[in-house]
Parts: sequence; C-alpha cells; structure tokens
Amino acid sequence: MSVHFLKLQVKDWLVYGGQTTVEFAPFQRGKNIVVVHGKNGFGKTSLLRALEFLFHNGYDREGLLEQWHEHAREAGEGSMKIALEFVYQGKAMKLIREVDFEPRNGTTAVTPSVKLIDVDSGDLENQVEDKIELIIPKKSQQFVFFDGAEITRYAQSQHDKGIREAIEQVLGIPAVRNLKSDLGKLVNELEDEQAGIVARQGHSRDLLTEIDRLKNEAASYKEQRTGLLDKLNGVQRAAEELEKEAAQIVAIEAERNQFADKQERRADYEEQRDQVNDAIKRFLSDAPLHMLTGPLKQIVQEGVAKQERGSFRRDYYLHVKQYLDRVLENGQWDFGAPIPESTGEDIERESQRFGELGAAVGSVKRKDINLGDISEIKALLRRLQDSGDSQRLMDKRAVYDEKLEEIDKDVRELRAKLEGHPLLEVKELFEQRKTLTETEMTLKQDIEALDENLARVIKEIDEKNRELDEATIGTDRGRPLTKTLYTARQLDKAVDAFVDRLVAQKREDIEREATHIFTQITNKPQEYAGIRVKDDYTLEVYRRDGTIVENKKLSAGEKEVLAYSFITSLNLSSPSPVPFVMDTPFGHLDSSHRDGLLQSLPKLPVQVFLLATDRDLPHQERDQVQAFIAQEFEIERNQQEARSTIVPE
Amino acid sequence: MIHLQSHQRLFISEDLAGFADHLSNEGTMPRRVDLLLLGFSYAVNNRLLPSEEAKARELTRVASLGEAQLAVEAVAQWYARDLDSPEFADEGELLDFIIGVGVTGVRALKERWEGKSKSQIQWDVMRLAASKIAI
Repeated sequence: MSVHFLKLQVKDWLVYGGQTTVEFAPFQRGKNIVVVHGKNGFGKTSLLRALEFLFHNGYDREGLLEQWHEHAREAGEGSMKIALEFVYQGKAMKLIREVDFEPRNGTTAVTPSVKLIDVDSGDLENQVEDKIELIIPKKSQQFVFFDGAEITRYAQSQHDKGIREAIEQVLGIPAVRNLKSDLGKLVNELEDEQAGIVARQGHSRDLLTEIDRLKNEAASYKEQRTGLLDKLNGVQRAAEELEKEAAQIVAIEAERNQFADKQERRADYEEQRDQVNDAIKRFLSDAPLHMLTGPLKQIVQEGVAKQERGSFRRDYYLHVKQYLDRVLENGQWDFGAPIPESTGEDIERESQRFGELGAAVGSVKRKDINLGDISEIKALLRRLQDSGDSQRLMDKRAVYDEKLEEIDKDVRELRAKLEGHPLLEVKELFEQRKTLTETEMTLKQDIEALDENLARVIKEIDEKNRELDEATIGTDRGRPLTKTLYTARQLDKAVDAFVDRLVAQKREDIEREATHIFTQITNKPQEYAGIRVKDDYTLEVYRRDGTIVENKKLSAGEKEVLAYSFITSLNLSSPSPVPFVMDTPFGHLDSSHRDGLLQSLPKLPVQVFLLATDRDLPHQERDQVQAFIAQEFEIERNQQEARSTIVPE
Repeated sequence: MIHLQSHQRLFISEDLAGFADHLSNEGTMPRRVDLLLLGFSYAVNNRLLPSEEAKARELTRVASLGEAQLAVEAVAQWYARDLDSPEFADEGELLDFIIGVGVTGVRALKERWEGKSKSQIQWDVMRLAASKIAI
C-alpha cells in the first residue's frame, strides 16, 4: 500500500519566507504527476531539502540556523516549520517538524521538535522517529527524494557499504537477517546448556573441547575471510580507480599526440599557404602585364605579318634590280637576244628605281616594331602564360586559410584541455595495474582456500554436534534440550537458505522491473536488452546478443536512465512505495531519453513530483504528458523581499 | 618602334600621389609605380582616353620598369594608333602618353576601390588580371 501526500506547509525554510501551503489532489493512478515549475534559484531544491528534513532531521544547531529564512534569522527569534499530511496504510497522518529559535545568554537557542498526529482522531503518536523509519527508512530516503543529476552514483560499478545497506533496507532484508541472528543466539544458548549437562562425562568433555576448537578455527577462517574480502574490495576499487586514471592518461596522451600532430600539420599548411602567397604576390606584380596580354598578342601578330610582308617586297625589288644589272653587264637578255643601245638607258633607270624601292621598304622599319622586340614580347607572353591560374591560386589560399582557421581552433581547444595536466607516467600506472591484478588473483585464491577449509570445519562441527546430541538425548534433562537444539539448528539453516532466496528473489524482482523501465526509456532499444543486478547490487546493462556494456562506456545520460530505472524499481519493490520527488529530473538527458522517462512516469503506482525548470520540461513535452498531470504549481519569487511562494498554475 | 630612355622619369598627378603613397605604405602594392602601370593597363583595357594634366609627383626612373618597359612602350604606340593620335616624334612624347593613360586608369581605379580594404583590392587586381580582356 503506497504513501500519498495530501498537504504540505513550509514556514521560514530557506528561500520560503513566511508560510506557504500547498494542497495536493487525491492520488489517482495514471494521473499521478505533480509538476512544480521553478527557475534556477527560486526554491526547487529548497523544497526537496524540506521533505528530507521533515522525515529525517540531519542538521546540527548550526545547520538548522542556516536553513532558517534569512529575514526571520535577522529578527533573531521565531520558528521554522515543515508539516505534511499524508496517507499511510490507509490512515491520514500529519508529520510536523518544527524548530524554535530564541535568544538566550547572547546566543540563539535552537529547539527542534517532531510530532506525528493521527488526523482522524487528533491523537499524538508516540515513538515518532521509529514510526517515521517504518514509513521512509532514513537510508532509503535517497531513493525517494533525489536530484536527477546526482543519481548517477547508483550506476557506478561499485557501491560503498552505506548504499548496499540502504538498498537492503528498502528490500526488507535486514529484518530477515535479524531473525537469523536471533536464531544463532538461541542455538548458542542451547549449546551452552547442553555443554553444562555433558560437562562431567569424560568423552563428551573431549567432544566439547574439540567443538570449541573447531568453532574457534571456523571463527578464525571467517575473520580471515572478512579481512581478505575487505582487501579484495579495496584492491578492486583501487584497480578501478587506476583504470580510470589510466584511461584519463591515455586520453590525455592521445590528445597530446593530437596536439603535436595538429601543430605539425599547421606548420605544413602555413608553409604551403606562404608558397601560394608568394605566387599570388608575383601574380599581383605581374598584374599590369597580365592585363596587357590581349594587346601584346595583337602587336606580335601584326608585327610578324608586317615583317613578313616587308621582307618579301624588299627581296622582290632587289631581285629585279640584280637581274637588270646583270642584263646591262652582259649586254644581252638571258634568252640571248642583244639589248638595243636605246634600251640600255631605260634598263639602267629601272634598275636604279628598283634599288630605291628596296631601300625604301627597309627604311620603314624604324617606326615599326622589329624582330628583336617581337621575340622579346613573345618570351614575355610565354612567361605570363606559365605563371599560374589566378583563380586557382585564390582558391588554394582560401582553402589554406580555412584549414588554418580550423586547425587553430582545434589547437586552442586542445591547449586549454591540456593545461594543468602534468606529464604522467602511463607505464608506471600499467605496472601498478598489473600488480593489483596479481594481488586480486592471489586474494581470490586465498578466499577459495578459506571457503574450502570453512566448509570442512563446519562439516566436522556438525559431526561432533551429532555425537554430542547422541550423548545428551539419552538423559532426562538432555532429551528436550537436544530436541529443541536440533529444531533451532534446522531453523537456522532454513532461515539461512531463506535469506539467500529472499535476496535472490528481490534482486530478480528489481532486475525485472528495472529492465522494464529501462527498455521503455533507453534511446537504444534495439541494442540494449536489459539490466542485470549483481550480488552487490551494482548494475550492468546487457545487449541483445548477451554481451555486457562496460559501465564506463555509458554516457552521463545513459547512467542517469540506468540509475533512475534502478531506484524506481527499488521503491516499487519496497513494502510501502512512497511518492517520488525529483529535482531537476532530466539533467543530462537528451529529448529522446526525456520523452521515454516522461512516458514511464504515469505507469508508476505512486505520486510523482517533478521539480522542473522550463529546460527540463519544455512546452511540447509537457503537452505530451498533459493527460497524466494531476496538478501544476509555480514557484514565485518576490525578489525585493527575497521570498518564494508556491502557487497553483 | 620608339623606345624610352632608361633615365627618363615617370610621374603621377598631384591628386593621385596620396593614393599611390597609401597603397604602397599599406602593402597593397609593392611600389607606387605599380599603381601607375596598373592604371595604364586598366585604361587600355577599358579604352579610356589619356589625361592631359601636367606631370606632378615623380615616381621613379624608367629603368625600374624592368621587363614591363617594352610591353608598355609597344602597347602605348599600338593604343595611340588605335586612338588615331598623331605619331610620336620622340621618346618624350611617348612617355607623356604613357603617363597620361596611366593617370586616367589610376583615377578610375581609385573610384572603383573606394572604401575597399587592402585584401579586397588585391582580390580585385587578381580578378582584373585573370579576366585578360582581349581587345
């Protein structure tokens, strides 16, 4: 039968100045979510602390003074109070924890008090703290009122003793263990009585001595075993720490290598960009010539054509002059006919004219471009053509600029990460790890050997006890005692087996429930098949193919989901599940995990109080669970008076 | 073809002297004369008419033009013919024409590069050079 909250009153507690009263709607399955919206610093965590304080006051005088609202504290006199009406096992109860402050002898006297009232009868309950312990055991409070971001400690690969005990407390295991302890005591008392009866019989006395010796031996083995187990736990914890450290060093080392590599690459890129820059500079200083390549090509073309034309004409004129001169010199034409005397003068005049024409064609050269200039310009054009594509150069420079910018960003980030990390000796750590592994193996072997010895001694004790029983059962005084002793021993063994069964059964229950919740929430439902709860209540996620996901490989969000699934299942496995109060419940969760978790809440058979910021519960997601929300409240803050109050939305 | 004498001096107009100094000081162009050469090429490519203004600020000697000298001489005479200008009588007239065309071009570039940063101007020069307008 679960516990339901009805009404909460908070007076002058932390940020809640004056009195704030919140009434909750009756619990209804499927409509069990109560949302308290509040910005950071407005009082969500103060509310969580108020509930923790109400059930179990963990504060000393100074601590209590610190929780008192600052304005009330300034007044120096008054009280702070948390009161909660709730239903427990069908009965309405009211728990009030109050602290009075009054000035006394120059200081403030702090007087805490607690009351538990039966609401229907108005009667005050006695033994209040014991009753509270039954409702929410102190150790298991952490599974009920929790900060979403802090719960990942339950997803660690090792639990400390306190957490293990708290888990067993929720599961009701200590009560059965107490029964076992009581039975043990009874057996011891009966055995002492039996020893009194047989003390005078010689043979039996020897048996008693032998049993005592064996018991001492067994106790010694047990003591050694406990010592070795502690050592083994210590070694395993140290190995795990070392592994973490080694992983960190390996990661830092990888980052250091990455840093060196990036710096090297940066130097390469810089060199290549400098080369491109030089090429660009050359291109820039050649830019005017590049712009003139069009006219220069045309000049070369025209010059070549003119040169060719001029030389052909000059050659022709000179060739004609040479022919005429030869005719004049020979006095006859080439075909043998003599030149008439009257024609000779004409030929001479023509020869002179062709000579002048040839010379005239040659004299035009001075104003035109000559062959030497043309070939020089041609060479220049060729060089310009080979000097590279400006667009390609510009693109290349842009690419290098971008690469350098990217690499600079990486280098800056890596430098910031590496700052403050001294150079650590990885090799040394791995050596230590190796030594620890060897020690771990040796310890395990020693424990196995002790277990064997213990089993042997227990068997011997059983045999000797049987002999002793045979010796006493024949006497009038010994008969009933021996029968009772026999029954007590059988019971002791049965309870022993029952404890083992109960623990296994409870673990299976949690495992099943946690797996059910986890698979609803995880964003890798195709990959993760469930949760395994180990003997020491640590958790393992296993995949569909049966392989285990290493704890350190789970993300912060996944650890939160794992821890949430576990503590939810734990609460539900307890005899009286109590409401969940989750502060900032979705710390590291992505939207997929957040959706999954939200969808799982209405299926819980208890009230769920979400103390959420707008980031925890965005409008869209809030709308998705609208149908399951019983009530919504808003924490309002009067900033001038530094006072928060809770009002219905 | 008329050639310039290496001792002749290149000039730029008074209104553009500050602009040339600025670009050279900023490192946009290595030398002030590079701006005049760029102006010359820009004017030729855009068929701008030479400026008639008097010489004002000396930039450098012709000798410092290096391999650009022949190209500028050739293009100047080719461009003058294209503009139907009278033939140059000597290297003095040729130099005046080159400076006149260069000044016109620099003035147009000054307007084109108004408000632009060094790297924007360099990118623009690269683009102009890459476009290689054929005439």
